[in-house]
Amino acid sequence: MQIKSLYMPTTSIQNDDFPAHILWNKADLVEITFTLSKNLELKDVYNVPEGSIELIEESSFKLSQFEINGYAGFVFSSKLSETPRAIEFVLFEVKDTATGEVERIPKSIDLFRPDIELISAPERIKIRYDSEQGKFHLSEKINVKNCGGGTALIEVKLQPSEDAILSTPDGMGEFKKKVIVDLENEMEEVKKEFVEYNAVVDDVLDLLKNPVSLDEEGRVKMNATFSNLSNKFEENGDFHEKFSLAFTYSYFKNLKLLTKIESFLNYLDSIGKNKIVIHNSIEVLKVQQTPTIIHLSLQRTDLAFNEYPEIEIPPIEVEISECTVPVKIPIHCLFNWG
Amino acid sequence: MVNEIAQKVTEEIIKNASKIYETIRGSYTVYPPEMVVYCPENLQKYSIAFEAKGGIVPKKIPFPYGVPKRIKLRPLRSLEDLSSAITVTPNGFELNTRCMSDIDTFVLDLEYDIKNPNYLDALIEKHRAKEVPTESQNEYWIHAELKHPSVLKTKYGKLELEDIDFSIDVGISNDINTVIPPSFRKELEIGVRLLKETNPHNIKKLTYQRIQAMRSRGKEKDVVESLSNLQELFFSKSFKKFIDVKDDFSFSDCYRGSNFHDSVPWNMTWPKTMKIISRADLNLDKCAAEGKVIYNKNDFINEVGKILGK
Repeated sequence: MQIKSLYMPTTSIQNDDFPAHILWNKADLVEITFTLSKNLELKDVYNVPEGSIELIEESSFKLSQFEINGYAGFVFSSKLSETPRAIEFVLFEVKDTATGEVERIPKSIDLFRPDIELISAPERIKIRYDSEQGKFHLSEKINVKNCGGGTALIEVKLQPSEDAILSTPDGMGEFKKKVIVDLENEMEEVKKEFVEYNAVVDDVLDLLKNPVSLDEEGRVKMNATFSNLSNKFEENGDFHEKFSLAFTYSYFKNLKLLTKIESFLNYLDSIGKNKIVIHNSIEVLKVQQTPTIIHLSLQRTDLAFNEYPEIEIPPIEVEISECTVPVKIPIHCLFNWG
Repeated sequence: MVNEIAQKVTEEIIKNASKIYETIRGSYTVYPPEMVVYCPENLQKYSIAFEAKGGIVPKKIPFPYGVPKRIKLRPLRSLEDLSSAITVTPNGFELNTRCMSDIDTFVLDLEYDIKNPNYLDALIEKHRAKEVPTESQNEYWIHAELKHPSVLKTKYGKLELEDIDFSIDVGISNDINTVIPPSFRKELEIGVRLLKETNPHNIKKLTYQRIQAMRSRGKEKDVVESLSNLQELFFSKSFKKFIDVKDDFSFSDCYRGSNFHDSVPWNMTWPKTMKIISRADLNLDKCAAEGKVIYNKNDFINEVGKILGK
């Protein structure tokens, strides 16, 4: 018996699907048994007749018939684990039915997820404006760390009050509005050429016009739109190119409103350390009157758009001193990500 | 269970190929045809080789099985131009055999569009690493497998799937962020304030600060120029040198990533990811393909550092 290839990836985000396959010599007749560790589930088996997957015991399956000999394909799915890193196993046993010889091949996979921890939050933050540098200085910051694996998408939320709100900075709103107006015009051309992709183009425009939160509804919408867009790009390279060009053109056309430099700074500010991406990085904390108490929380997900509980940050007293300009603190300035 | 779309579309492809095969076989000796689906173009291509078998060949052979997107007839021995041997008709095409020598072997290449856009999805299961667990890792796995290989088996030859497109998002934002020198960032911030400033006194002060920041960076190059150079790194011709695609897959192209993980539309310009397109073939002898995309992170970081003056 000759096994030509037995593949299973060695890493994956938790609560997502991953594949495996076995290729063997077409002249050999085999039986395949595979056993999954507790956090894995069988999602699909390819190249076997309907109803031929035999459940031997819990999480252990046997295949003895194949539509064409020499190949079996698998899709497994994992669950969200209590720990940010978990090693799971699949044991494949391939038996040559002519000789009775059995080859046992264990495969393991490192399942990971981000793990955002609130390390510390100050009781009070004093804000001072440095007119020389044109910057706000904060006496203390909130310390947040990604202690797990993979990227964490974070949205900073504020319980709005009369004294403090989160909003888009001046100029940015106008820039975004104009980019979207131009993008809609450009996309009309794309839609005329690729009628079959109109729905996905509309979904993307809708996401840009009406940005979603990282709550359940938002995650489902983002996941569905991005997966669909990615599939369409793979399906049609020409559509991918025209779609991307429409974006680039609309952006550059409006670049005078947001300078090249400023956009790059905004880009840098949206990236925290240790694989943290800030979803609403452009927003600023506007404080009208102090001292005031702010109530912040962190909504989060990962690149598989899994659900995680929101992190409540204890109330923080904000006090402003020596400030001659309206207080607008970019939200990334409130945090250390180390 | 065999998927309905996979079965139906494959049957249509084979039905069409078999009609053409049988029509030619009526007058010529036919060799086993090649049937290939070109995935990126959603095209089916047949190549059928045939030669005269000595009997009477009709002057014209009609093929009323749909108009192909492309038809080409080529002789294997001579260099004859046979474009006049093909006439497109309202419902297909016909061969004018008087233009064809009776001692040569010919290859008829035909291309038809696959009308159902879901055909490939119904046949192929694709998976990829959505990302890597730590910043130090730079290998992304990719995998494609046939869902229903049995539909590719036909009595007219094997149907093959070529150039299956595969995209993967490689994260680069942290690499750019970590390599930005503090002096460059300071210069950027001064630059932004300078562009917004209207007071002549403040402009003078900021200009001085900017020159100081440039000196401490030790580069004569302006930040705007540096950023333009940085932009060039995201073009395919520049970024592809940081990518290796291995095993059953091969590199095809790369673009700025198109995910929108933050709520402003600048991802296409300052991408957080680069989308790498790679390709693989699947057929009855190769029902599954495995591979990896390796992002040469250190080379990229060094290049960004060089541009920004680190």
